[in-house]
Parts: sequence; C-alpha cells; structure tokens
Amino acid sequence: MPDDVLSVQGTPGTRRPSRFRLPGRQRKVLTGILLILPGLVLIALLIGYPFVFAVSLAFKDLYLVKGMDSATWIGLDNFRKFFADPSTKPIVLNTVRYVIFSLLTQFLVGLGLAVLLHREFKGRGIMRAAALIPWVMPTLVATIVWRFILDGSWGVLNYSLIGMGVLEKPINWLADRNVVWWSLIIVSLWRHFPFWYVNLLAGLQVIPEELYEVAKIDGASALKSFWYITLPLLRPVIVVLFLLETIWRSNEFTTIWTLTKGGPGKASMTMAPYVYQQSFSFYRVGYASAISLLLTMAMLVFTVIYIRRTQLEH
Amino acid sequence: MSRLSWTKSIKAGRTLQSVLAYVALAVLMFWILFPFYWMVNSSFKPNHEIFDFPPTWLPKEFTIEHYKWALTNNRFIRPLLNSIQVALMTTAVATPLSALAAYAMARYPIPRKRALMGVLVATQMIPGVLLVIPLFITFTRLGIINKYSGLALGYSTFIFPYAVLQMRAFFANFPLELEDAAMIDGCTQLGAFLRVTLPLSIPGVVTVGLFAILIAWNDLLFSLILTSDINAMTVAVQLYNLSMSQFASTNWGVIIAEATIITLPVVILFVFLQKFLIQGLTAGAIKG
Repeated sequence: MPDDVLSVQGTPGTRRPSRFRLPGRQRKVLTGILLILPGLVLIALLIGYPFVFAVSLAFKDLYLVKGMDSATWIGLDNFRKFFADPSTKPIVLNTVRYVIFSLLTQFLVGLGLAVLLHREFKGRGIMRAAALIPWVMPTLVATIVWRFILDGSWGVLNYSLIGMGVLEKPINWLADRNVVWWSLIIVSLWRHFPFWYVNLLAGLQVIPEELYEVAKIDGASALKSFWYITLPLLRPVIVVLFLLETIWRSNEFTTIWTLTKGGPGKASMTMAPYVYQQSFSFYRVGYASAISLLLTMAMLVFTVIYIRRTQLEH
Repeated sequence: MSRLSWTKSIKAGRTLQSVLAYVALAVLMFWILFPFYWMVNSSFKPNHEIFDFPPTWLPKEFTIEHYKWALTNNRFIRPLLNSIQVALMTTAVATPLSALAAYAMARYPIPRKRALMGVLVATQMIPGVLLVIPLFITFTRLGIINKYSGLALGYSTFIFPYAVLQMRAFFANFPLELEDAAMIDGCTQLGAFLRVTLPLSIPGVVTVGLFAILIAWNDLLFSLILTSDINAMTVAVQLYNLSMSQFASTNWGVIIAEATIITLPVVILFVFLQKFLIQGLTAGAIKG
C-alpha cells in the first residue's frame, strides 16, 4: 500500500516531519535503496573487485616469488598453457567424475533417508536432527576424523574388515591411487548428503497425504505411488539440488585438499584444489587465476539456469 | 485366494517392508554417527592405545591428557579465541545488514529488483579459490592481512546474499495486515518492520545469524590464506597446520581432542537451533 494513501487514513501529526518531502513512492524507492546499499557496497568491494582483479590476473604472468608487482600482460598464454599441459585432462576428468559420483550418491542416500525419516515412529525427531550434524561440523574436522578411520596402517576400518575376515591385508584407503577415489566419494557423501536429505524431507512434507490414499484405494503398490506421486512432485526440489550441487561440488576445495591434497600424485586432484596448489604452493598466481576463470565460466550455464528458475518463482 | 488371506499377505508384506526400512535406517544411522563416536572415543585414549590392535571400543586407559595439553597451550587457546571473535563479528555485521536488505527486497519498490536478485545468487556461484587470490594480494597491500576484522568482513560479505534471499522469503510471507495495522497507528514502513515484522520473524533471523557463525567457524580456505600469524589465525588453520605436520604421526590424540573441542560449540548451537534451522531452510532456501 502506498504511503500517501496511508497518511490520509492515519492520524494527522503522528508522522515525523522531515525537511525534504519527496513524493511517497519516490521516498520509498530511496529508503529501499538505502537499506540494501551497505550490503551491496560490501559485495562490490569484497566480491566484485576481487572478481575483476582475478580476471585481469588471468591474462598476466604474476609469479609471487618475484613479488606482487612483477606482473606483465601476456594475453592468452595462461589459457594456452593450460590446454597444452598433459596434466590438465586427468584433472578435468577427475572433477567431472567427482561431481557425477557425488551427486548421484548424495541424491540416493538423501532421498532414501528422507523417505525413511518421513515415516512415523518413536525417536524420529532425534534421528532427523542427528542426521544433520555431519553438515554443520567444520569440513576440516570431518576429514581429520575420516583420515583417522581410513588410515592404512592403524585405521579402525582396516582393523574391523580384517577382523571380520573381509580383507586379508590392509588397504591404503587414502594412499592407493585405485582406492583413494572411493574414499573421497564416501567422505564427501558423508559430509554433504544432509543438505539433500533435509530439502527432500521438506519436499515430502508438503505432498498432500490424500494423494497416497487415493492411490491406495486404486490398488497402487507403495513402489508405484513412490514412482508416480512422490518423485514427480519432488522434481522441482531435485532439479534445484542438482543445479546447486553441480556448482558447489565443482568449486569444492576444503574436503579434497584436507583429505588427500589431491594425491597420491594427482590421482584425486580436481580443479579447485589444483587452483589453490598452483597459486599457494607454486606461486603461479596468474596461471591459477586463468584456471579458476575457466572453472567459473564452465559453471555459468548452471548458474544461469538456476537464476532463471529462482526468478520465475518470484 | 480368499479375501481374508489376501489382506493377511498384504499385512505380512507391510511388516516385511517395515523391518527392511528399520534395517536400512539402522545401517545409515550407524554410518552417520560412527565417526562422531570414534572421534570422542579416541580423544580419551593415550596415544599408544590409539594405534592398538584390535581397536578398543571404549578407552581401556581413560585419559584427559590430550584435552589438558590443548587447553593449556597458547598455540591452541589463542586461535580458539580468534575464531570466537571472528564468528561473533561476522554474525554481528551480517545479520542486521542482511535483515534490512531482505526487508527492502520484500516490501520496497526497488528498481531492477529481479536483476539484483540475479546478482545476489550469482555471487554464490563464484569459486572461493578464485576470490582468495586477489583478496590475498589486496589485503596484503592494504595491510589488513593477518587481521581478523578483515576476515570477518569477508565472511559477512559471503553470507550476505544467502542471508538476504533466505530472509526475503520469510518477510515476503509475513501477513501484510499486521504491518498495515501498525502503519495506520502511525508507524512508517520501516517502523512497522522494526516493531512488528522483525520481532515476529525471530526464527528466520536466528537461522541467518547461526549460519553466519557456522560459515565463519567452519571456513578453512580464506582463513588459511588471510591469517597465518598466531594472533589472527583461526582455530581451523591451527588444527590444519597441526594435522599436516610431523607432529601428526605420533600425536593423533591431541589432534582428535582439538577436533572434538572445536566441534562441540557447533553441535551445541545446532541442538538448540535445529528446529529454527530446518524451519528457516524449508521456508526460504529451496522451493522448486
């Protein structure tokens, strides 16, 4: 409701007098802008400016060992170098593989748990809460605990598997290049599935119970009503989860870096830790910026689709 | 098949289904909770017992040595205090800024609102590793590297877009009638917000404040690069350094005890606020 209408209804004299009296709507526009301005200034300074800076670095050869002002313009050389480097391909493939496996496992576990915890039983509330904890704890703590469990020489996983007779000799879960991959997926799954689960559970809760009752009367099995009612109605949530998670897992640094540092060799290296390694272990800041810019551009499609969806909603 | 045995077999099927569901649930919950149990369990064992075979499911020699070592050591206490300050500063800056902005986005006629929302969402899609490089250079040049105020300002900025989107949904769903009533009584729109909408939207605001704390407390990437000095570094950086050093090969006990200590506040916060958290999430974050 516009202000001027209200001031007609309101008791005269209760409004604070102001020196400049802009017309109601204009004043509201101004107030609105002033309310969001501080945040926007922060964004401009701490996201906008660094972003532009990073883009400019991508075309320079800044090498931190030579000092911060040693950069010269080298055009597209960083990008050429990246595409010519033989270690590029496995890292890009690793990233794609990491994203696909993470998304599928997290979707399945998240959905499974959401369905299980949607049923009514005693102790449901506490389980619902407990299942969220891996997601609120620091990523570093999660990877430390898992490094502890997965340790090749004294980890409890090897001990238990050998004790149960499943394994004959210990597996180097984090140092064997054939296995490290699965360890990474398991840890990532443990850390990230709660976000899926809590959103899918919220989705389940708004599906009207009557739909299932009608299906039951029509003789549909539980599996059938899951397939024809639950999944289609969850679809919007699922699509958004896949979009967001594609971007987040592609950009993921901490889980991978603190679990394996991308190793052994580069067996579990993906784009984001690679950027970090290039810039802060090897000081090739220009080159690292170019790679991170490529990563951002690759995510642009998903970002645009996601923004379109959120805007349609409003 | 008679009608009676037919319903019986359906009932048997239902029971089997429930049993399977409980088994699946038990397996999942075990996998979810085991790492916590193992962390706490190991933190009370002396170092030699940690490496024992077979592993002990409860500490045979119960010890609080590791906790003592951590909590009497300035190399742990200092970063712990830094982290607390960074987290509090982050939430103190981010929560009011984003609450006001979110309300403006929900109720004020701001030009180009859709584009603005798009920008907010887009900022969340930029990889952290891209931003941290220029931030490192800029912070060094400005001399605010190794200052936790710089770090807190960074976190406030990163949480801001998410916080605005989340609370905007909250405020937009707030009944207009209540605000109108306040305005008829002489409040301005902003006054109606501060006196009516905000007090009734505490769950949403608390969620966002909690999120700001979590982001600041949990982050490693930015703190690793922007704070290397003991007087500014966060506890995550300290623990990271410790867990990657030679120290780790023999002193896992201390590392796991420190990990337990820094998880504790998060879990406590979470236990108190999980209802708000779930409510907030389901009200704002994702809705098809």
